[in-house]
Amino acid sequence: MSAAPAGGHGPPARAYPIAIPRAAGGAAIVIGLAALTGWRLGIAWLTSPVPGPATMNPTTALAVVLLGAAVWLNATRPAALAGWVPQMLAALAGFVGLARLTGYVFGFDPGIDHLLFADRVAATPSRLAPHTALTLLLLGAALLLEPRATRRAQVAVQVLALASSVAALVSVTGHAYGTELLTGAMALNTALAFLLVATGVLWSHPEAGVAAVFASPTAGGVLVRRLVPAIILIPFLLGWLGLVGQRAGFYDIAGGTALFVVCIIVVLATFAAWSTRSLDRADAERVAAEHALRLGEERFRLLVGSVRDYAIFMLDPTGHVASWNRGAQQIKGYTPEEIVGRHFSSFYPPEAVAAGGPAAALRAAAETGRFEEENWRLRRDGSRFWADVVITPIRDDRGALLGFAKVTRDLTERQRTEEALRASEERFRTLAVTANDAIISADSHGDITYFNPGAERIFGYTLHEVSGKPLTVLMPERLRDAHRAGLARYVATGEARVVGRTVELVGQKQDGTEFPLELSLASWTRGPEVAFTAVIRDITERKAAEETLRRYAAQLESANAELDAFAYSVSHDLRAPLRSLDGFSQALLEDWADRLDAQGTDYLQRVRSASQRMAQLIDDLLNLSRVTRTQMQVGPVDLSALADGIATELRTRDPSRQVEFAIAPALVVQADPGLMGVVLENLLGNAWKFTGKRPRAHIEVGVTRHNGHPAYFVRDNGAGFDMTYADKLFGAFQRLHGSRDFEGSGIGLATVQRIIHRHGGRVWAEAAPDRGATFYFTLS
Amino acid sequence: MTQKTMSQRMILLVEDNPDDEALTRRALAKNNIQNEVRVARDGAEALELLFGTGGQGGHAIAPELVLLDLKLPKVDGLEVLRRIRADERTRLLPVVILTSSREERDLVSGYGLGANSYIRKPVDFGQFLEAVRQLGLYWLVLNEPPPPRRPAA
Repeated sequence: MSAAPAGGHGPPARAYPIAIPRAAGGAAIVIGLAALTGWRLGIAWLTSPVPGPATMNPTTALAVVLLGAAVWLNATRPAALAGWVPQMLAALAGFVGLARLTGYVFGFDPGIDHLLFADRVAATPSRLAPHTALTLLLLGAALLLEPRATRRAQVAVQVLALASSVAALVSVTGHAYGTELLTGAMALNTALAFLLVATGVLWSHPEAGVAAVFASPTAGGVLVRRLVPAIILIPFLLGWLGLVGQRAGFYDIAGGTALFVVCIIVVLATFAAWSTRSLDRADAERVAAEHALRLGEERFRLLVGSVRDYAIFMLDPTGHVASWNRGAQQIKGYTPEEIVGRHFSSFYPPEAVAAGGPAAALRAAAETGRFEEENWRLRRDGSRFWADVVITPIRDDRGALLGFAKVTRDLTERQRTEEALRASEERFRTLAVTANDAIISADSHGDITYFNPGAERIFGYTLHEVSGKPLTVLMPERLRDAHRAGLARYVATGEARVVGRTVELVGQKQDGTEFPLELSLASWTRGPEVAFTAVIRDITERKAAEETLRRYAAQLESANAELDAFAYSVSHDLRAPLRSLDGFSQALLEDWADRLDAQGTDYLQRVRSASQRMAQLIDDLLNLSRVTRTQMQVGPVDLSALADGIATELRTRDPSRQVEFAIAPALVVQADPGLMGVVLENLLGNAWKFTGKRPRAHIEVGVTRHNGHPAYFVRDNGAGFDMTYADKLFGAFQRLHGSRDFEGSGIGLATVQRIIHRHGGRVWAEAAPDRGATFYFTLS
Repeated sequence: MTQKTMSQRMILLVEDNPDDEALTRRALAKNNIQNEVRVARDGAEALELLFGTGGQGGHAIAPELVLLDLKLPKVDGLEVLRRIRADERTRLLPVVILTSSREERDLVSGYGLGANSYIRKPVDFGQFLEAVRQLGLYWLVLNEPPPPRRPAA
């Protein structure tokens, strides 16, 4: 660490303790003033505290006062005082010493000794000893140089002050040992005052020089603080004791000296051993502490090095990369070898570099202590990423800039997430705003927090009007208590009767009109609070439609019941007269045959066949109505087996016919078995009937595909029909052939169509006259 | 009334239509079924004959077979059948439903109440004749009737 503060920005020198220079300066002033007082009042012990010829000359006393004042002022620096005053005082004192010394060198008396109290000085006599004059000069020069900050000046100050100390110490020792040889005629109080002033000078810059060595917290400082006083005091005291013993005649010079030496060796060796031991211990502690610190640093380095999501690296004061962690490599793509030593502007896009971004960032960080921004940065491959950058200056404990710490985070993903979130919010907001249904949110008190445009349209309130109002404003008076109770119960116990379900309720518009609504209520938690979202649909129209539908259903039911009663009556009562017609005609033919001619017989036969045809018609009609009246029982139906059975029956009924059946196997459908039987009976019966005039009749039952669905068919090679009349085919009582050619009621295909429709299917035919016909049907 | 043997017991014909009654009698005659035929013209009369509850202090008849129409004045045929089956004296009496209808509900109710047969009267008299012939052959000749009931107290 350099002795001088760095540049003009260093910490103020006066921040250091000023107690020592101040106390030293003050003590020197007191000693000087005491001597002057002694001269003034003739008190000898104040001018010369020990017996002997040496006294403090009044001029010396004055100079001592000046030096002490200079030290004191240097330490205190009162604001009202001009900066040059202490130097002036020091210069005066130094001049006194210089003048007297010059007199000694050139052999004249400059009259300095007699400046004050000339009579008493002459009487004593007293003069400034050369020794004293030299010390005054040294100390004056030291104090004159002290404010100068250059290293050379400071070294000079130290040397001058130390030299003065040695001179003063010599005098003090001489006085203590009672030898003129060393006192140099410098009075003891003078010597002490000089020591004080020298100490004050040395301590006015405690951060440098001798004082710094003493104040240092290092082992060296400890050693100096212990050894120097010991080295000074122990020989001094032992020498003095030896001298006293010698003078008292306890031993001769050789013995005294030997004793002195032995004592010094023992005491100093003991002292050195003690100091070394404690130093050793301190050093061991220091080593341990350093080890711990290194370990901590190592851990910290590993920690930073292993961080992958953050680029953490150092820049030197000029912005060159000094360190590089794994996260930096991960995010920016450079290896440490590639990037350490390069300028960090490599991370900026060219336009940011051109605009002076990197330099501005460092400047801002250095001046404000922190620089942060979110902006684009470049990776090694030139691609950009959205970065969060923090730059922090790093300074030593005296404020000198050591470099910058830079932490960079890749926010691209976060930014993308935020954008997606924004888009998603926008989507949901649009959904809520454009929805036809009312979407209403409420807090746990049931107060409205959101009211979408659909709600405004349905209820007639604006969001502004109902925001914060209880939901009860949207319902008729009679429902409000139930609502409040339900809400309280749900919030307290979580027991839901409406929440999570869709219910039909009654709402009330702003103008007071009530309307039916469908409510889907959901609850959710926001922190500790329960909140609700209701989706409400005005079902006025649906209700009306449902009512109409219900009415139709009731009408249909009553119509069906009527039809049923009608059919029951027909089935019993309409056939009885036919039986009479037929029966009694037969009786006439049998019992009165002899009275009937051929024409009479013929007429009776016509009555009989008409009655039987009528009976058949009635049966067919009843079948047709039964098809619609019976409940369907849907299950698997094997059409192939059904068709086989019907074919067998047809052959049995008319064994004379030559009809070839080709029935595809395993045609299984989901349908009502009874009704499918009726369908096949009709279709196969028709095919049987209309192939009646073919010598080789052929009837086929199979399946094909129509519009992707299976279409079952019954095909014959019979009479066929003209497709022009195909639309009449399935109407009741519609016949395309005369009864003379083919008998039939014209109800069979109507029945087939009705059954197929009841199954959700379709039936149609393809035919040509004399080319046969094919009837297709599908089932849902 | 024709003379009858002990084995030729009577047939009770429950029929409100006189034409049907005449045709049934003709069909029976044509098929040489000689049993006496008692006719009840409504359900109430049929029950009076069977249980002897008639106004003129008549006693209960014990027919070998009942031919029962369903659609009848006063008490309909199904009710007559229910009462026949409910009474200890007539519980085992063979009852053949002979009616115009073959509505499913009539069939189900008829068999459900314990009818022994259900025959639909065909319109064609030739077929009717054949039906009666088979009916007579089966119920009056082939079928072993339940043992005669003990005389009513």
